[in-house]
Amino acid sequence: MGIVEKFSTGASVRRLEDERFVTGQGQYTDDVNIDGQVYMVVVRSPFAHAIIKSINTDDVKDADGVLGVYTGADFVAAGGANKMPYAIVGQESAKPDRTILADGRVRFAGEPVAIIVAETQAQAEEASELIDVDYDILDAVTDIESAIAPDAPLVHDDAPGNIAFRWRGQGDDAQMEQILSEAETVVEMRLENNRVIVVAMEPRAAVAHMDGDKLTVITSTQGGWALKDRLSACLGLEKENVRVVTPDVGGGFGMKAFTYPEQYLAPFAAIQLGRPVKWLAGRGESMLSDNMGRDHISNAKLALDKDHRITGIDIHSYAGMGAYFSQFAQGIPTMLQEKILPGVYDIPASRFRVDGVFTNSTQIDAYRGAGRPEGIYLLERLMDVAAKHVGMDPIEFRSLNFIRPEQMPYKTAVGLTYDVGEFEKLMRAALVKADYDGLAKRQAASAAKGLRRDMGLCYYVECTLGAPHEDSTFTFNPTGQLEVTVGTQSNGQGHETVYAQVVHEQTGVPIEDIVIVQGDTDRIKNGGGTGGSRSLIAQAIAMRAAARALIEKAQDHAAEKLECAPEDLSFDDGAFRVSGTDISLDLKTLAGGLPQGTLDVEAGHDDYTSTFPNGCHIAEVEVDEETGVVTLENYVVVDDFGLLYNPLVVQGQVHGGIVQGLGQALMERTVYDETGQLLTGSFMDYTVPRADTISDIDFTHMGVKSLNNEMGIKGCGEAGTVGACAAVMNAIQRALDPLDVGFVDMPATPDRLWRQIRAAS
Amino acid sequence: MTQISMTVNGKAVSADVEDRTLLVSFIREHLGLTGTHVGCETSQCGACTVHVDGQAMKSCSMLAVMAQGAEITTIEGLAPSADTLHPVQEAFREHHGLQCGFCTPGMIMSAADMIRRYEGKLDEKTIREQLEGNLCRCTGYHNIVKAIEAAAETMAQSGETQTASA
Repeated sequence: MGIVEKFSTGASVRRLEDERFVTGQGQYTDDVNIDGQVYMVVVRSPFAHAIIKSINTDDVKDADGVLGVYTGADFVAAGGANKMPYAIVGQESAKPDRTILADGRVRFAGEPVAIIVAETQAQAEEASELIDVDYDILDAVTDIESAIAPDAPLVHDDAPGNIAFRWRGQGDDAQMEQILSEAETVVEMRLENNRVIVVAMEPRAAVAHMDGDKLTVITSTQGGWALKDRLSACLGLEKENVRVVTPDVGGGFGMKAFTYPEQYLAPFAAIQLGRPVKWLAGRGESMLSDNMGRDHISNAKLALDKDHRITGIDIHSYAGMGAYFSQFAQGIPTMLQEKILPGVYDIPASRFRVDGVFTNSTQIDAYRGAGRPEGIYLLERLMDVAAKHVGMDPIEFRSLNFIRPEQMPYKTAVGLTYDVGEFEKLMRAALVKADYDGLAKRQAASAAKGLRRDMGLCYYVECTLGAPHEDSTFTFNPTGQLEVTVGTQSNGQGHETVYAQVVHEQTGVPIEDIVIVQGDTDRIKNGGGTGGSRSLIAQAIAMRAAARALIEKAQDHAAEKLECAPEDLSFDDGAFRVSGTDISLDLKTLAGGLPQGTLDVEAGHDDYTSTFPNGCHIAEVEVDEETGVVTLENYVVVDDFGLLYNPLVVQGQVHGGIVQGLGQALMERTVYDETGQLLTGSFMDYTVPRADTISDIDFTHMGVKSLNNEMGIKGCGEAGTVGACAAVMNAIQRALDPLDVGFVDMPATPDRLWRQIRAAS
Repeated sequence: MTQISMTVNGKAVSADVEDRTLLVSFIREHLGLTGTHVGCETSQCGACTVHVDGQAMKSCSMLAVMAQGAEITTIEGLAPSADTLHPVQEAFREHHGLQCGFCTPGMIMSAADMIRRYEGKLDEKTIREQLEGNLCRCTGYHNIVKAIEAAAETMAQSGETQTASA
């Protein structure tokens, strides 16, 4: 329908997946129904901390339609390994078990205690009212400061003081103490990074069924290969007898990157009952049990010399873990956050220490950016605090301390090497876009209305991450289409379109004949999944290698068809060409004349290297000190993502990322009461951005090609979220500084700001 | 159980349903029209929006029996024909007004109704206010607003605003 103007790199090709989405033909997990399917509900602990004295399921078993009810003991008795995996990163760490179903004690409200399977969803829900669990309620602790207070109730007996782990990154104590003692100025800041609920619009779900010895699990993931391996281990199945299929996914944002108890329990029930089993989380259930994000309290010091140049950064963070370690919970506030802590500044030394903290709350894990938004938020708030402390304009303070293009490649204090970056240039461009020169005039106009107006800036750098390996196979199918398998997993980013652009550019195969195949562990043997803004970089390298292999393999066949020597052929502009003639042969035509499978190729690589997307966010706000209401008046972002394949898709990622960041900064607040009940457990209570939260985002791209991959791309999926929080909070802080309100933490809700303004006056 | 009859996407349907069956469950489970989504349980997210007798309605907020005799249009029935998209569907694709696509059917059904109610005379501010009942976590809304603005203009020009949700 006239959507493809120019189908090559750098073209804003309209998305190929959209036709199915706009017509209701998308297929998400809950849209899958299998004949004979039955329904699973999870009975969850209503208490944040309790001993389970007994579980009586007699009445449940007698209820209408009930086929099975299983506790942790039943799961183990049937041979299930009742244990969730997690990685240890801390040099010292508690090692508590996280079970799939509770084992005698529950530690957060929402922890799975039993499952019930019935013929219908309604019957399963009704039966769940009949389970009799005798709880002995214990004192709970739900926030970091209460958890580390003396005499706080212990979440785990083997984690004294509720310290879950202690980690220290690079940096030498003696050196840092010397830097701090010799500094002209040491600026200190305490900041909170508020806990957020991820809120993918599609709730988590799974449909599991057995066919003979073979288990198939259809479930919403960011890559199903880890689940496949773990299901095999957990349920005692051969790996080749486990297939994980990920259909369309309605948003992941890091939250769907890891396995969840229900992804083991639905397959378990399907095996026990010999029936297909469907499980779908309600929104309240999602809010209780989806991994949450952030939840840090940090104390930071910035050392400056007499010229206001930074000589060192020293940070200690407490990082909330929730009640258990989720799969990569330890890695995010530590290794991942540390990567970007020096930001874009020439900082010669750093020290970074993190203490993980258990609380009686839902576990924390990756949320869009995972560690890097937290790190940049901290650093960029600290930059403004320091500039104010020494009486410098925050723009000039940043400018003074930027790593300059001529210093590239630049090895940071935490050991990463930035390849390229033109920070000063991008910041100046953003300031022009944001009309910094006109700010005073706009402030005066706002003041005339009784409003405080100001501008805040954040210069972020991202470090893209993920599994180094990725594969791709190319197969011409019997209808002449080129099927391309990938090990990444679109959660809405538009991979089908952008990957097709890459393959088309390399092979000349028409766009309508390229089929991107994702999300099936039977068809794709390995996959690194999607996360860390890695997908296009990791997958494009593999697809380009496969394209080269295809052309190499096809050359002899093409020569035979064209009755020339292979060395007389060149491949350019999408076809083999006989030199000195106008004779050509494209790959699709060639494949059509060869036996099926002749041109099949496979290629993989271990070459994924981190890249460093960066850019400048500027937010302009009006604050009404009478009501605490913040209005976002303007938002400008200038990004450097290297080379772009599809600017339209990139712009969409930037918009969405920024609005998620603004949500955390302005409205998203996760509240537990003192007994550990989640008070923000629905959309009635937990605020996410709506269409009227912002008016416009002015996005400009000024790419500097990355040297860390053959394409020159940098990745853009998380960048918006990394930069947004600090920009808007710096703006609010500057607007309120004349009122001496002290440091303003997120979320800057009207209620919280109003109280802070009142307390100051 | 109650016997209900209604017209869905131009076809007469009837079925025996439990009285407590929500309209959205009837659409998804009985009729197999899975383009209408369930994203919350408190009628906040709008992913389940359909047209009931020409008006946008969150199909999780009414019982199937309440739609007795009604004319229902779901996302599957919005396009005028199998090979032509509705202007709102076309605009969402053209302006990259969707990412994961989960909220999209509800957004499009709300937008079509909004354009009808305002007879195509919509500015950005009104669209943003009127989208209060539809949540999206991917796009940041900006391209959704642009898509609705563009669709409203297209439909106003072609005189389609009177029949936007017929």
